[in-house]
Amino acid sequence: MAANSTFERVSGLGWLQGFENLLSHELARWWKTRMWWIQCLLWSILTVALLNLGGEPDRSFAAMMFGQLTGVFQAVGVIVIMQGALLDEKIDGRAAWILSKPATRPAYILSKLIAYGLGMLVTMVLLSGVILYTAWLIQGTTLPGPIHFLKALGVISLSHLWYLTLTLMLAVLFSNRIVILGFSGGLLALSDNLARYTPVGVLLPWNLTVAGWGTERSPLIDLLSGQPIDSFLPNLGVVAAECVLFVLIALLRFNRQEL
Amino acid sequence: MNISTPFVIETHELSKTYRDIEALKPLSLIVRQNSIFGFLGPNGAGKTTTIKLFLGLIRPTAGSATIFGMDSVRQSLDIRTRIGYLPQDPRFHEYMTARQVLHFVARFYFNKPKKAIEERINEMLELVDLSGKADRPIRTFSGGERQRLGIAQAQVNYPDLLILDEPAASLDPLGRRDVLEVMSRLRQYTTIFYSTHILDDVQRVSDTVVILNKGQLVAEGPIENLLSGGEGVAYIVHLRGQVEEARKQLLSQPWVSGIVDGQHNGDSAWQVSVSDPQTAEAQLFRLLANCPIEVTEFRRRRYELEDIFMKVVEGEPNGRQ
Repeated sequence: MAANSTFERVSGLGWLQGFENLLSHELARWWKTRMWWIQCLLWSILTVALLNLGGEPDRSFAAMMFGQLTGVFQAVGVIVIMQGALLDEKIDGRAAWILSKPATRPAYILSKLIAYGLGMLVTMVLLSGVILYTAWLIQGTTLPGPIHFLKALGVISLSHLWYLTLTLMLAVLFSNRIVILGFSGGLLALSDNLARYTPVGVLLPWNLTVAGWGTERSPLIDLLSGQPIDSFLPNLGVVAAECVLFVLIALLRFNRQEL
Repeated sequence: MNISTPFVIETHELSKTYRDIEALKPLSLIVRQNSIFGFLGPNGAGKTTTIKLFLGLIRPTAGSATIFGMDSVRQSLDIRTRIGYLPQDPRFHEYMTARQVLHFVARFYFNKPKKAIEERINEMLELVDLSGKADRPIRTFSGGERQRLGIAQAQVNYPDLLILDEPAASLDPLGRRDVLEVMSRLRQYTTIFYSTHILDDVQRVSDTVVILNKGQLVAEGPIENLLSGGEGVAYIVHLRGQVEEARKQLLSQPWVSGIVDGQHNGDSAWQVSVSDPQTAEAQLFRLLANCPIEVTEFRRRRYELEDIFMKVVEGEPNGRQ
């Protein structure tokens, strides 16, 4: 049909064509549906319950449990939410439909990564962090400095990002939900043993949040206690590098995937 | 449309193999501008595979396809700016409304002005009779309403090529009629390439047809040629009286290649095959009128598309027309 000259057409965005539209679509899925408040409600309740914030103030216990909350419960949440983000659309044909429009595959993948990353950052990491900080403030507990606290939230975000990118990559590589959930969930379930008994532990984000075996230390716990985390930097670096690797694999593989 | 009409789609030995399965055997076809091109075949014939190859959603194993003169693999993004596509089983995000879906699609093509985009969306909603449900979530839509929304979203961008994968499959007879009417109306603006297994639809709106079976092209041509059959032109003549005299007269003509006898309600029913359709059209009836017989029926034989389809799909390829 003859192009209607009334419109200003989208053009010249190269490998990211369609990204802005896709990102706003993915963000709307988080923030214009029930999803955001269901997540907020869930993580608020779990934070208050697990950290025993209504009980006797115990900062080291709360820090330890905060590690468990973010490193185990929220990691499960990330995997569960993320596995369907791409897989559902691949299976029911929405991915093919969207990519029949002038949108690139990297734009499609990156829009999901950013929107889901932001959604989880706000509804899981920030919200739980704010609840913990507010509770400590009310309880009159000695507070870690704001920079340390923000760094602690950064560590949690990195841990979540690892599960998020891993699950995204698996959803690109496989079209079977059981495989995706089994692999990422299995890795999470085995993390404690892998970190304790094998050198593979350094490749996992497990001990970024959850206390290491016999040490009661993790970057998260140390930061919440106001301590430096220099000794953990290699682990942080490896996990960050893996996130980049997972995203690259997802982008490269999805670019050649048949939909 | 004539031979000089530009091509919109051109494929050369385009094929697709999944491991050992040849989903599409080497396919060469041409789709001309402003045609309604019916892509016909039973389930699993390779129709959707071909469409996905055009859209760059899958890569060919061999051969090539050009759309608007651009390569379907290397220039897929540019091609997709000029295409509207309706998937076979359109799925949308259930929480979105029809209007939101159309906005989402429109934003892939247009930046502004907002008012014109809104008008275009309203126009599309009206076209598919969804204005009254535009702001309801899609999870409340019936299958037919989803299909109509699919047709609307495929046209938001004023496509130069509309690719419809089974557009009428889940519609009731009235819905089907409406879709076919929309397609006929759009012919003046765009080229329509659509796959279907509903033969009646193809016969009603298509001007060119390809029949695929088991990944292979088994018949191709303008619909009129296909409907006249692949065995040459023939006339059906029912007559009574001195039929032997008439038979002699006809068989003495060099352009009559044979007569097949039959009976119909006590009359002789002939199928007269001719080798020169133009001469036959000019002379056959006149010749019969001069014989001592009474002609009760006279018509050119016309196949129903279903006959052609069954014939080629059941393994009697009648070749390209």
